[in-house]
Amino acid sequence: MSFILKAEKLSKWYGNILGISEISIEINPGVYGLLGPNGAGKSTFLKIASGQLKPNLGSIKIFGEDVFNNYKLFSKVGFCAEHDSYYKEVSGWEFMLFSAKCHGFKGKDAEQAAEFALNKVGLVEDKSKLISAYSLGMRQKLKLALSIIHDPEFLILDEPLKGIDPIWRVKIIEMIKEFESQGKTIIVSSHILPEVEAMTNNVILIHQGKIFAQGDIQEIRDLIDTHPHKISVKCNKHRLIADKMINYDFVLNIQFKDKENEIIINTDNRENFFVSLMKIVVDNNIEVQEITSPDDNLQAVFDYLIGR
Amino acid sequence: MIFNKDIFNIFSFFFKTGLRSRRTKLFFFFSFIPVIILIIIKIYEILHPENKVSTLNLFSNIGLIFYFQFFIQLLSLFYGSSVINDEIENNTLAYLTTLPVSKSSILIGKFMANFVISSIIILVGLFFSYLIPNFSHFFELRSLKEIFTFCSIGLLAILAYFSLFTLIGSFLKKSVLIGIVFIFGWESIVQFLPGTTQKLTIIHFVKSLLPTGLAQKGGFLMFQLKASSYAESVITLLFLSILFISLSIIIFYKKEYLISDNS
Repeated sequence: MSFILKAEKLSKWYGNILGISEISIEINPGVYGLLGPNGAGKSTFLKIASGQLKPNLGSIKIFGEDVFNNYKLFSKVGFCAEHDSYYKEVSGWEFMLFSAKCHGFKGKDAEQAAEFALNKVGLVEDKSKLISAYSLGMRQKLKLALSIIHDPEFLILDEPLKGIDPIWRVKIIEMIKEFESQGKTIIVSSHILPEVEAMTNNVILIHQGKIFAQGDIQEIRDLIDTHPHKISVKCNKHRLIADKMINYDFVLNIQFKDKENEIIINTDNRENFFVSLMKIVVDNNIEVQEITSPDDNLQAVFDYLIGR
Repeated sequence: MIFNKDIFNIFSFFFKTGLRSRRTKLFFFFSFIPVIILIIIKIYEILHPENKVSTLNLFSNIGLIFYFQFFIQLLSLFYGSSVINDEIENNTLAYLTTLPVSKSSILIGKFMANFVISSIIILVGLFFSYLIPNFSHFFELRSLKEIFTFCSIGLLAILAYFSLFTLIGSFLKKSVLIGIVFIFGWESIVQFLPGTTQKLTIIHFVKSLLPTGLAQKGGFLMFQLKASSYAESVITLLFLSILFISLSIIIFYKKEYLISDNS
């Protein structure tokens, strides 16, 4: 089977400092969230994937081809760098036209491609301004527009939503989902975990240069059976539920939030817990307001995995 | 064909950005320093015709020394080393290397853009600093031939220095510092050493091309010069330029440039 991206035992170090170590990964079309703390190796991985760095060991192939010095690959790959860097003396429009021409567009086609990409990120009205007069958010939008100007099949986005206003964050997340629905492949690196959750359930957790976990957020969460699951139950008879639940050995402890009619139960067996909870609720005719699992979000999964 | 189109795209973008940069405005201003001095002297000459100064002396002692001994080197250093170095220092290299354009096209396109800008700055200054002392007979064939010769030598000198500093800038971070040591250390000292040692400098071959009349009139510029032949000088300067550019392309192709990374 041919993958969009395939890395095998990819390792990179800077002198004595480890960048990434033996990363093996296979990526097919879809959106992938690349998560990890500062220094985890996310940007190193993305720089290797975008051909800026070459690995010390291992290999990486995109569309079955080597990446480093393979400039032709970038007619199918778009890259949005993390750095807030730009050419001070040109306008956004001039930079977009330059990029379009380098991608092989000519004359009116170049203008149309530039206009289309700027429109996608909401920068058309400010296109004539010098980039040095742009705000951080506008520069970020310009980088995104540059990465999609040639309608790439594979997008590598390093912290793409940094500095962008909330309304456009939502629109860009929608745009990324739209790309996914078109069968494209997108890797998104971010620190803002709810945003990644909004884009995809498919995450790659990277820590200390290694892939810590990979897959669906829920599947990853289920892998962590050594950690207790927190489950919150809100109802008017929360003390009754607590009284019944405490007898089960899979319930580790219960916290009470009487003001909110809420209990938070820690369990090491999620499946048995829900079977028992449902039985108690039905047997005692309890009207439950809400059942949530606060540590099913990405932040909690991530914190568990890196041992915070 | 695509190779040429890519070079042209890179060239036109960096030519435009280069012309607008503060560096270019600053160097344009500096390039007119000898012109301003020559205008002042010329005005003095008109007001005091009894103190007439030889026009050749004026041009060779002010114009030529300023441009050939100092300004061409300095300008080439700042523009040549910036071909790659600016992209690394400004973190903009990723914009270029993630385009479907070969690294050799990127380097050649940007090299040409910076080279043309530097040449315009030098040639405009050189032209005016020749025009002012020779105003009365500028359109004579001899004068036109002379200014053409100076401009051609200037272009060759810029090309040789520019290629060298592009090479240094492609693999050293502190290229400006190294370049200054080279210009004001090595080149400045070795060119005045007797014997063949002076052939280890670029300035030796540049000075060897200057018209022989300057050997008597040029004073400081021609001091201790054991000139090489015109053919040897032109071939050496062209050979060095091609060598340095080729090495720059190889290094740019092979080297990975580490840009600050925090995640």
